[in-house]
Amino acid sequence: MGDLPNTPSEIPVKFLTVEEIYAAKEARRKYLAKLPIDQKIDLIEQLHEFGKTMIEARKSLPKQGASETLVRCAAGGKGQRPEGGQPGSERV
Amino acid sequence: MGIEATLRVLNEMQAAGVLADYAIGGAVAAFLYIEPATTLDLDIFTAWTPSPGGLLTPQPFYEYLAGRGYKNYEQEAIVVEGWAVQFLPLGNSLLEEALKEAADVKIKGVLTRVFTREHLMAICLQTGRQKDTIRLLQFIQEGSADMERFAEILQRYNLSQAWETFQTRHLKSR
Repeated sequence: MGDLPNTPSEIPVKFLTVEEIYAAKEARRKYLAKLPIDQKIDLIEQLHEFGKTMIEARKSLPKQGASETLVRCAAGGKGQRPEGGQPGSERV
Repeated sequence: MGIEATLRVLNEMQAAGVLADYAIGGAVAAFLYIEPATTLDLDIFTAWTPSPGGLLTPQPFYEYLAGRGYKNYEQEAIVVEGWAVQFLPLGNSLLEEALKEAADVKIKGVLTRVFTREHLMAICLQTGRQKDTIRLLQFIQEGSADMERFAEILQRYNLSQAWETFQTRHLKSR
């Protein structure tokens, strides 16, 4: 254990190339496509639960129009309206 | 509770004479052949029963299910044992053939029927939404489809030209 590097800069990190990432994704796709039906069903069930959770989570997001979001982003996230703008004039 | 519980209810509907022959189509069927992804509903293709006035309606399915306590809806789908089930009519002859030639499959011990991959591919091509295009590309990438059978289906339902266009747009540039 004493030989383990103790600072992040000493930890050997290998970055994958785009080709390696693509090959890994392709291998995963092939593996998942060929799973036996019942294992696939387990996976589909998990993804179904995940999808339902995401939909529920989306419902709890603040009701904010996309246009207002854009203006907020443009104003550096401070929620400012364009200069001289009236409520409702923030549409972009 | 899982999809097998939903399928069991559908089989009981069939045994009770409420539901005619049915098969699973849509995303769940596709994911049995290709890499699974998230889906929210279970598409059930079946013949709708004509009402006394002759109107085709899924009402008998909903009434039967309501009688068994399934009363929650998610948009146009009814929730049965945790899955939002959408009953879809056989709107054209391709869907009728897809149902007729659907494969018998056992899912977690429950016998059901699923559209074949070649029919699902043809339906994707015919429907032509963005998600259908992506799905059709996944089927092709997966590479297990019987392309001769697929071509025959396309020919029978006048989809050969659409397939040519699809190939030009999405496959020939690769």
